[in-house]
Amino acid sequence: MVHDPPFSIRIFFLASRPQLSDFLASVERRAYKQALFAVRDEDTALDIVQDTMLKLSEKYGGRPAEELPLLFQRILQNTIRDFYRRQKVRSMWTTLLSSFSSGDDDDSDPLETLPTDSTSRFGNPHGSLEQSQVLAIIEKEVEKLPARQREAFLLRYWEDMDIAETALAMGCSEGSVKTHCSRATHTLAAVLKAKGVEL
Amino acid sequence: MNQELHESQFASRIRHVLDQGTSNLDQKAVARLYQFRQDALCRQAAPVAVLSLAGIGHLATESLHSHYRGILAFLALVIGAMGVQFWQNARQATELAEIDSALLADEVSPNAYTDQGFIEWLNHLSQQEEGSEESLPQ
Repeated sequence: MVHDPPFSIRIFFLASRPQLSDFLASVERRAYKQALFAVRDEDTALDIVQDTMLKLSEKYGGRPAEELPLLFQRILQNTIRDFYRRQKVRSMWTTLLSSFSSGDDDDSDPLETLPTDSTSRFGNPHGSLEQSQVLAIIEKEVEKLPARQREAFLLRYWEDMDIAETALAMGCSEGSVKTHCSRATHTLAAVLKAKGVEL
Repeated sequence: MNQELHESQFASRIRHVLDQGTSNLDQKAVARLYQFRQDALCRQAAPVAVLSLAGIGHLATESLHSHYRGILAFLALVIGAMGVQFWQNARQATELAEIDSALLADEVSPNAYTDQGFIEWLNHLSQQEEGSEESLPQ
């Protein structure tokens, strides 16, 4: 563990408008995809990204630039969860579906799990697949992951956060992050192998 | 460890594919994301000055070795003893000041107590009072 040296003065460089602009430009597409994986509706996903950007800018726009990635991801994940909660209130179907979730999470979201369908919809699993088809398959399988596993996997490996940062963004323990990431990775590997996809 | 490495390598390949997906977004979504970004920038909160002395609390809690902690405790004891001594001196000075104030407020001038004749007269007066008390009938 790295400690700050005693009596050192740490100066935070606050996010300027160009810095915030660059940051948002660098994360907005991945954020949109993350939201799309979670809610499976383009307009809703865009709304979530818009809300996230506005909240970050209005409430934390004056924070140091180095804090923006974690704040943004935390707001994004909370906004996605808010969508789940609203959907739950509106839809009895969703409530019933969530009650059959696998319960593999120690701090599980009640609406997080959807069953994984291992049936290929992309033709012959042993044939060679075009790049766009591989992308479509992987995105679909990421979309099918249980929400907490998908969240941990994308934050850890796509947003390049370390385990501690991922745990902070998800509001769970580091052990849970490791478990979610491991399960997500194994699920994806198994499904892609079954479909004949080689990376 | 080996398993983590395999996971990391596999995840890295997945990441590469997912990155390709972000570069192929439809133009409508890209345009809306751009507009969201501009709207958000218009509402950016004003920066708040932040300056912190990192490590002060850390120094007090974790980084001090037991050797320095002992010295620190001894210094605290010495400072405490000096504080008690200072407080006692201040109290004595206050008491003396109160006596001086009483003398100055008396009808007799303080200079009279330095006059030898006045002292003798006081002694003579007190002896007379004692004599008169002894001659009183029991």
